[in-house]
Amino acid sequence: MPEPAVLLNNSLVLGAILFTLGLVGFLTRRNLIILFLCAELMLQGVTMTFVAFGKYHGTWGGQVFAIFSLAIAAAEAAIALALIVVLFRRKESLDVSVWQDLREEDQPSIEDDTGSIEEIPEQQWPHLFPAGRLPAVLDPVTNPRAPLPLKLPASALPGDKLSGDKLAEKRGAS
Amino acid sequence: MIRTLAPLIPLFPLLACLITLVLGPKVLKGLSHLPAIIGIGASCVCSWILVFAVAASPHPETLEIYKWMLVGGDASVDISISLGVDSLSVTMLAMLTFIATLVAIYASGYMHGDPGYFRFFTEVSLFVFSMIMLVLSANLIQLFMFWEAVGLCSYLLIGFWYEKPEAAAAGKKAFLVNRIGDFGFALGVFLLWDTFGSVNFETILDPVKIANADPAQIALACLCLITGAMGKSAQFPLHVWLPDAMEGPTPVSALIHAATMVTAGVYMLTRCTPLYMVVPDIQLFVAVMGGFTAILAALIALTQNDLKRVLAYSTVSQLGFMFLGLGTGSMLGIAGGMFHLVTHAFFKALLFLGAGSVMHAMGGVIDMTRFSGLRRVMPQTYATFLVGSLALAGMPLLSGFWSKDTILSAAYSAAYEDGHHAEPAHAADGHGAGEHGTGEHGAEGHGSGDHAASAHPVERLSLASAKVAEREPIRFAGLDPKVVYKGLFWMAALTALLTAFYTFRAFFMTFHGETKIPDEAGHHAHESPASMTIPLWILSIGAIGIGAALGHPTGLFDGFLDRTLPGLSEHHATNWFVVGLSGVVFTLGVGVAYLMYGRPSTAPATVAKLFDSLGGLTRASYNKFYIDEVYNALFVTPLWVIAQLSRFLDWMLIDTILVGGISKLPAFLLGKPARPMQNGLVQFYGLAMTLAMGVLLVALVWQQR
Amino acid sequence: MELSSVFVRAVASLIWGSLGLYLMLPRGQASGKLGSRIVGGLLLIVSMILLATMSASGDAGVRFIYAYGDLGWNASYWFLAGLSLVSAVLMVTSRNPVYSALWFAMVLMSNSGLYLLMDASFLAAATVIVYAGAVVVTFLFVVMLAQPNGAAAYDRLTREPFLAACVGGLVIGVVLLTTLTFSAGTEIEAAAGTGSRRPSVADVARVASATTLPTKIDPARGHVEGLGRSLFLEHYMSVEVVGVLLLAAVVGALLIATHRVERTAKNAT
Repeated sequence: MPEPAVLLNNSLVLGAILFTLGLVGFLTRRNLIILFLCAELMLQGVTMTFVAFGKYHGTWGGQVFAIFSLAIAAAEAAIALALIVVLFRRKESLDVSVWQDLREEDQPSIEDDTGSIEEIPEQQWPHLFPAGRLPAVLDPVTNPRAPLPLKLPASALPGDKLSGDKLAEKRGAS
Repeated sequence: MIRTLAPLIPLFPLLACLITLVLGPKVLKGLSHLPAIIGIGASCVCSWILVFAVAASPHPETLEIYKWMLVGGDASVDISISLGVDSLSVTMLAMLTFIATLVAIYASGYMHGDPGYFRFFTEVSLFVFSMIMLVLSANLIQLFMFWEAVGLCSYLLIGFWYEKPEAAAAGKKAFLVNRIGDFGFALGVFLLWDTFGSVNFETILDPVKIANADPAQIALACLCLITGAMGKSAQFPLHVWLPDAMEGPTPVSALIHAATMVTAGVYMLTRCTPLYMVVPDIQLFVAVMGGFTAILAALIALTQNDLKRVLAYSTVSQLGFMFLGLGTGSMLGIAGGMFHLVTHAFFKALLFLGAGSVMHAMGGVIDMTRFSGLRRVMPQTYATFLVGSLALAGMPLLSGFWSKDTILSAAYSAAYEDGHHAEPAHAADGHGAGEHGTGEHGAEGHGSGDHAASAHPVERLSLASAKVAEREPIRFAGLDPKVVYKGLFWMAALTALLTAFYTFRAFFMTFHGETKIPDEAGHHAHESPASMTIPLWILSIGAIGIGAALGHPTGLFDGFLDRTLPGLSEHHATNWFVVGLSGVVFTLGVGVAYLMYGRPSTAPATVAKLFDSLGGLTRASYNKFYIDEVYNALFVTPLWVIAQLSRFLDWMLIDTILVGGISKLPAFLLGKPARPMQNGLVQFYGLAMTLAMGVLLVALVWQQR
Repeated sequence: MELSSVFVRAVASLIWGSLGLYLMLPRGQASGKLGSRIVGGLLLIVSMILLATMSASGDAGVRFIYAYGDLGWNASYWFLAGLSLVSAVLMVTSRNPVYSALWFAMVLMSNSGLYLLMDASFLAAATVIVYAGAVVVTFLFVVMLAQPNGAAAYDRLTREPFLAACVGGLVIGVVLLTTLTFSAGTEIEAAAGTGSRRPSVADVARVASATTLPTKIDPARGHVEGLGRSLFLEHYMSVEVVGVLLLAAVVGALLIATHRVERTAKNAT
């Protein structure tokens, strides 16, 4: 037997979990963009609740409210992203901890323990190796007017594995 | 005709004011005088046409411009901005706008190059507008409003050179002293409102209503109104602001503080004649105040060395004369007061503008001991100033003589002629008859027939006049009014003597003797430009001729005002005793002045010796009888002490203990522990919100269980 | 059904969930160490299952899972709900904002599916178009604009992750308590007078027809038509207000983002 109340329960629990996940993300994460994504996630949880109630009561109200929350989320996103762009231009960082200026005068600024951050090693992206040798027109060694390869990884270069910079030096010398 | 012209008269100066205000600083600059001169001039032309229109039309008219208030269930409080056109107001208008036009022309030369050029003409235009509206008021509220407006303009113009501390202080002083009078005036308006349920002149000046009202209340209201008039017209004890007001530009002194605004008090009392005709005691009070002020100011003027200050005290003195005239309680005295107002406006404006011309030439120096013998340097100013001085001193046949003579005659008749105090009843009757039978007052000189009828008041207006006539006049300290008026008459005669003396003292000190020019004058020491001398000449003609043209010989003035104040043109036989006395007094005053100051052979040392022999009196006169010092000791210093005490109490009790203490306590108890919550971190605020939401939800669930 | 059993399961689920979330959240380490994340993920899945079967025991459990519609409907519902939750967890815990945005798009997709299942097809489409199509893409643009170099150090650091996870557990506990208290049908029970019996569809319909709630969904009308009627007949003022709000947001965004560029460039150093 289909029971609307059970569906409502399940959907409400789902909405609550989504909301709480967004909340935890909002409280813990540092990136301004992720903060706003988390806020949107909380809105999604609420929207889910609206829809579930609308379904339960068999009325349009839930969906109508959900549409309004959608519109408000869009407005919020527009403003938030504009703000993020401006904030980023100011301090070249998306870290929310950079913006603590509105605290009480005698309160210390909250600094993070950055010692525990591990450095991510320089990521080595896979590259396609050129098959065979470069054509003569493109080979900077044989043709001085060939376009300079830009920052090609050493492994991508043929033969003597010269980097682009070294090639330029070599050409300037000759 | 009247209905078309009347609104134009205030409109032109108002437009001039607005145009100068808006366009002055950027567009007009040095041409800022043009709107003012054109506007006030147009207003003047309209006023003169209006004089003839009113002369031709039998009825006074009231134009309602704007209904301001209509309060009360039966709309009993009906206040509007309206223009009341009658012979009294148009007389004032014609005089006011004429002199204002001349002063504006004069000022375009005098103020040339001043950084506040446009501001000056804005304020002058605003003043002329306010004064016109004051004169045209048909109710007391509007009168009060523009009364304050002219006070404001006066304040602005006295403090025109506000960088000068004396000018700023003088402006402030004028404003504050006037407040005292205006407070009284406001009280008077309220009292009249209470008495008559209206503030329209039509109602409150109705003799039937006045006769039915409580005389004590009317007396009190009149006293309050007189306080206001004393403030505005600088009567003792509120006269102290006027001499200081000379810190303003000289054209302002001429226009506002000599010719027009200060006469507003006289005008207001004249307007309210029917009211205070029924309270003779108050009239006596007015007369005493006026007479005392006249002689006090004349005594001070004797020893002043500042030319403008001499003229200022002379103004106070002449205003005292006008009050004395109004206070004699006879229509003759009122006519004299009003007429003196008009003639005085001409010759005092002339004298002030002449003094301004001297000041202009002397590079701002106005101390008479520092220059002399200017008759060769400034012949035109010399000639016109002589005319003004003669008129002020009361030389027979010049305008000052006629008006002063009328006042003296009125005082004389109040003092020595019988049946004087039956006059108020007559006047009230005459007025009432005039109100109801205005048509009979067609042309000048018709009043006598009317007054023959009013000789039988009981028949004409039985109830009203009977009440007034029955009333036993209250006596001041048991004095017989006749005795008081006798004293006042001789005081006035003495004042006239003093006037002649100090006027010519100033005249001789300035224009006779060796030619002496102060260093400040520089290249300025020459005759003033035409824009300044032409108004002087025009005013001279007025000072010479206006008295004879309108006054006693023709009766034009009285006849014209008779339409508003019936009984004014009542024929009086020329009082040859007073005429003779005036002549003697004039000759004596001028002669003594000539002997002391005018003769080339009289060394200043002789004069100084003479003054020294008088000792304390001279010093008291020179120091204005220490009135300012007395005020300082009596009012200013105690108030200052109280203010300091209040300031200290406010600082200690309220600011520190009450407000400071109470506001700091929660800050200390609650705010301090809570401060770390404001750490500026967005996420912390989010956490706080979350926790609060959780608490709320738990509470909600708990409640539902 | 015994309340204490539900309570125990719920609390256990919350504890496991909080712990799992804590383990999943970045705590400074580079993405290399997968161990804690895997453990955390497993814990979270356990927690979700516990939660899903929280009030299920025996016959009621079957009824709980097979709540509504046919088998396909239920399978879709549970799949999409799980997908939504998993994506949400990954979004919150991802070390790279780009991934976060993509996982959020995933959450939106699965939520759209759920809306579709709950007869909100217009909303489902709108969510996909507006959110996934516009908002998330804009987010991605900004991420690219601001972080062209990929992961930043502060993305690998979280503030008080343990405390936050605990708070999250508490909050969800409170929300669940509230939700269950009210959605257990107290309102309907009271109105329908069903006593302790769970209200049936007929009960709900009866109560709903007696209330003054907005327009009922009329199956005879088209879905969009009905929604449109509700929006523009009952909520027209709100629509206007939201429209003005959106306009203001657009103007504000333009103003904020374009204002004083040269000054910000100067301040950047």
